[in-house]
Amino acid sequence: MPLYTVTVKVDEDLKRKMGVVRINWSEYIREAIRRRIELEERREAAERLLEGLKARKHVAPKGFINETIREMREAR
Amino acid sequence: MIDASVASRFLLVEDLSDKAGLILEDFLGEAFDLRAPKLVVYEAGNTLWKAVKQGFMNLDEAVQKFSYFLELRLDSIELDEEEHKEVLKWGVKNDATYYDSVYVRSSKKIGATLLTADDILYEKAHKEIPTLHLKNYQK
Repeated sequence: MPLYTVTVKVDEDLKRKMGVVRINWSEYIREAIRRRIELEERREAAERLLEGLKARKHVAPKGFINETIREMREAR
Repeated sequence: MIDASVASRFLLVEDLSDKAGLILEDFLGEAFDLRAPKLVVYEAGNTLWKAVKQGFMNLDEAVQKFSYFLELRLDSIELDEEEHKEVLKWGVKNDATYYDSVYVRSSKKIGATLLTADDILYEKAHKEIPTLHLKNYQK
């Protein structure tokens, strides 16, 4: 998979401190970006689900969910 | 940690789905993360399947909802061989189904409170781990 360059600017003090800590900064920043994107995708999904609940479009009778799950857990 | 009785209330409007909405709002507010074992996908998926079969939504709507549900990536807890054996032992000892016991062991594994809307799971779990019934959830 090709890798692309992303530039992150830091001040002189931070650059000096980064040099003291012996870790792979590229890998660290890649992982931080990946996690943030995953979190944003999860948040987007939560917002869509919340919109669905507020629209009250797909209504099930009281007890439907618990009965369905209980049937699965006890009859499989 | 949530079980499928809570997660399914993200998908369908039912009793306590207003509380499920509060859970989503608090997740969005970064009050906590939402996690569950892989079992939650199968149980919520089957609940959607039955909702389509009974005409509460059509298939396209269910697929769209399930897509959002999967993008939530709740199913991040995996149990290893030893933990699965413990699930079996705990379930037999406490007269709980294997599936209920998976939620109890998964909550224990990550040190999280189990949130459920299922009375039977609540009764079994609260003697072993911190457990909250969805009806008692408050912001």
